[in-house]
Amino acid sequence: MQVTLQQVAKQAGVSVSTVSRVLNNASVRVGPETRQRIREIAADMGYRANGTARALATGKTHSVALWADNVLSTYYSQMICLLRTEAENHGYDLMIGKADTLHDGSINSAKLMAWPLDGVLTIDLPRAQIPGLKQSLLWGKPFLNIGAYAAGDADFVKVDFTSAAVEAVRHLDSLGCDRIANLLPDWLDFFEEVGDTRLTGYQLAMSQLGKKIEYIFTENERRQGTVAPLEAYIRDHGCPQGIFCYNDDMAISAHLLIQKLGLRIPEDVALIGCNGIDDTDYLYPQLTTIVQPMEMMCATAWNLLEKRIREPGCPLQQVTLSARLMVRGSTVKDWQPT
Amino acid sequence: MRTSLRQVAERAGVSGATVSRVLNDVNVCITPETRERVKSIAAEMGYHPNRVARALATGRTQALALWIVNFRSPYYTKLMYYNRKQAELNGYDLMISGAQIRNGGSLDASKLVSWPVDGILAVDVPRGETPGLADSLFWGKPVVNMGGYVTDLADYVRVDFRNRSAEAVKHLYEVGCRRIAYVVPDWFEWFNETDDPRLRGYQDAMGELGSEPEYIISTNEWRSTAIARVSEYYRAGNRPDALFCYNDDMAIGAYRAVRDLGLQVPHDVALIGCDGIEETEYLDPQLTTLEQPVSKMCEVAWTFMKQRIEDPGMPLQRAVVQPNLLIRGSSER
Repeated sequence: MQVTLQQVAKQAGVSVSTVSRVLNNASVRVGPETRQRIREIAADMGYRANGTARALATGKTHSVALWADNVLSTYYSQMICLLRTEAENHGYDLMIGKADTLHDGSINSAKLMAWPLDGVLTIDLPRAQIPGLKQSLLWGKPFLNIGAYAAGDADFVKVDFTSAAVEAVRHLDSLGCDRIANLLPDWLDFFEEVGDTRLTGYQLAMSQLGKKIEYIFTENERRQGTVAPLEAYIRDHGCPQGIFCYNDDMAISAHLLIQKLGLRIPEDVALIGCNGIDDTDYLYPQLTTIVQPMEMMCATAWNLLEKRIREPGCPLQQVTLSARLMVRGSTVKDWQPT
Repeated sequence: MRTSLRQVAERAGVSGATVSRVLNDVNVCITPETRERVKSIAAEMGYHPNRVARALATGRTQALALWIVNFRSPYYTKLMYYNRKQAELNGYDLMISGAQIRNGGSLDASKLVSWPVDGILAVDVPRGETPGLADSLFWGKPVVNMGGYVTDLADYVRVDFRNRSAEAVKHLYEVGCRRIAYVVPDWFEWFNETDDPRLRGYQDAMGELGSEPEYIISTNEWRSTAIARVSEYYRAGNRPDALFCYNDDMAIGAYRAVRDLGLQVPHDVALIGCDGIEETEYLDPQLTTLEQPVSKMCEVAWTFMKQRIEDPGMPLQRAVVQPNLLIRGSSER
């Protein structure tokens, strides 16, 4: 049987509101001894707050949904791990899921509103292609999107790869790479439409260097979807001396394949990934990659979302952070970790 | 302003109970026309049920908590992925909850039971050292625990590594390894006390082979510490020609350490990991591992959970599954 606040109050000989305030750490004039006594009595009696009733009364549940499309990739799992730590530090629970979408691909906002969430965080939302986002914004749920792709009409913490991508291409050029290809999923229309900063950076640097753009398209952004298309491309066109990859997963696949084909990294092919996941440390040679400031992105995201929950009417909060190039052995021969 | 059930009823000219039954698809005598009309009025008015109120009334929230202590490892990501799939399939929300651990190491169960979830899926509970679990059971929240470590205080789906670990060690012997060390985190005493299946499997095989067990004890179960520890061990002049590792992360760390010392995998040192994370396929050579049937484990755990929620008093449900020994390049000579 659940112990009620009333029973605790009766036992302690104080009012219900005093018990409530003490247990919620609200500031009220209650002597330290009384506080201590109430806490002890509550603990002895096995009192615990009824979260459901509290949520109904306050309209706040201290839970936030996190929507991510592909939680199996190491990048997303690292982001989820960091966001979960932030949530815990701020006293929130995190519900992890996909956006619940309807047949037409729009967000099922009825479901969203029915579940008492204080806010929604998404990673790379436009990549998940959810046309219903605007509608969910209409419902007024506090919302923030994080990542390489962000919906512009809501709060976001965005990572900008442009300058790092330019630097990556220039780095490949400085190593003497004649052909520098961009290995990317076959979503060029989407990338151009949203102004993907990796693509923009690649195109910009290539035109500055007066080089011919060369795309190698893969099935998707995952490791498994990379091997066969890249192998076919190398067979038909030979291997470019420099390859700038859309993400680390694809670069890790390319790394394995290139060596299997008897080519040396970096002597024959210099390779650069993107995101900076842990797995890049465990390749031979280690992968040169563009590192996202994941910790800072997640900490900032959480602060902004909490502010939005507290002040639903505050002005749009939009933060853009830059990624940076980390040079390692997959582009520089005999590179040694420092 | 939120639309209430009453407003929908008023507009439709029916009772609140009728609206509620239509929207909850309760099977009572309401004509298809009325059903259709109520539904379209509710949609038009933007009505959605208040799930908090419903939860308070029914005591059910259609949400489960998933406790994972260590998120960093890709194995736990995989578990999360398949649990999320089950949640979608079964129409539940999934709350990813760090088991809230108090300073003393006990579980902050008060937080957990105060929050409305219908049950708790706990991963590797005793390993996570959550002594408070028994309390939450005492409070009557359904718990299904799963993984390499389980408590029999609640329903469980356990992976039993013992036989396959022994098989893995014998496989290393068969390919010619004669000094097979076990790379294990620094909870050796606890493993020993609790008959840890991986440890016992290793010891079983070593005993059968007449070989002396040899342990490389690392600080924890992570990659970075495994690199340091394995590297130290070899630099001190020890030369095992095979490493059986507690998990894939430690095996990946060991792989780095061994290669950095200029040794070849598998020729100089053969390697075996545990868990079967995706990355084992992307090492060169690929890593031999004991793959946990994660998808199957989650499926069974959810079946147990649904049955437990329906019938809290039913007898303990237990399942034990075996990992698969995937032999790959890191142990083929």
